[in-house]
Amino acid sequence: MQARILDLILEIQQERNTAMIVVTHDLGVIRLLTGRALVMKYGRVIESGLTDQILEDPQHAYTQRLVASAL
Amino acid sequence: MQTPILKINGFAKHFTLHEQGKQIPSSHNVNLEVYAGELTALIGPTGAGKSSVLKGIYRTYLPSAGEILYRDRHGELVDLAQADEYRMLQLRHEEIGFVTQFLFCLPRQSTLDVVAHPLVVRGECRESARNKAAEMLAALNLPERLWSISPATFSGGEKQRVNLARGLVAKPRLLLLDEPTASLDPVTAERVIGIIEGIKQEGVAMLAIFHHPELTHRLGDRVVELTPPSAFLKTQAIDKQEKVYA
Repeated sequence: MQARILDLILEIQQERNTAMIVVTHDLGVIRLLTGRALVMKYGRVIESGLTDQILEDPQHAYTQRLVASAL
Repeated sequence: MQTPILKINGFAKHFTLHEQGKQIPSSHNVNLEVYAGELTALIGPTGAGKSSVLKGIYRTYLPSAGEILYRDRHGELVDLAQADEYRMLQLRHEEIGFVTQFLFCLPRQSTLDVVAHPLVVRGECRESARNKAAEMLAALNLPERLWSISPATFSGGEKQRVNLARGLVAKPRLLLLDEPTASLDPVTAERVIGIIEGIKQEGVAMLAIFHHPELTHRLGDRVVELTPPSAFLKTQAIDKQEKVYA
């Protein structure tokens, strides 16, 4: 079910050229849906970058813990 | 003498792991050029930071130092190490391709659509994109019965062929290749060599890491050797207290 919803979201975006913001804890969803990611802590953006870079080369200590805990 | 599509000056990459309080060195002082219609090969032992160079260009890794000067299709020079995220995404979609060792794709997309995707993203009609994808998959010996299913369950060698097909079909201005033939049988590897030689003729600039020296010899127009960080650090003054890597 989740896979179908993700497919649908991407289809809509492709067809209508829609700008999208996704709020989620699920790093798998982030990797599939997004090109760019912002990491937030206590209401502030502490890191931003291309999604694959955030997941593979996180810079901030908090982001590193977040990514490591999801693996 | 033509101007290079890519010129790297003093690229370095290290990783800072905050939890462990360590800094891990990778690539250091990398200088190289890549020209249209030519392939520059990166050689060196494991740990020398070869993959880090490719990832640094593509922005999967953030460069720690250096300039990555790329000349885009309009002739504009951009330092990829400083370019903003939207510029990087635009270049990835339209000009710079990366064939990695891992296949990332949507879970339920058919192999044909995975390969056709870069063309569709550029505005090509789905049918024409799928035809080109089919041609490339056939050239890489991927059986037709696999084209309609998702590559998620494929073997390593099959995934690599899908990855390659996707990277090659898009014919980017600059193509980065990370061990593109590592899991392939000799017959398919030979086909890949033929395709690479073909896209060279069409002006594609390539930077590649090959696991086998013979491929470097056959396909490399320029060869750049990287040395591992430990060899480099040994020549530095050893008065630093900090332990640098695990």
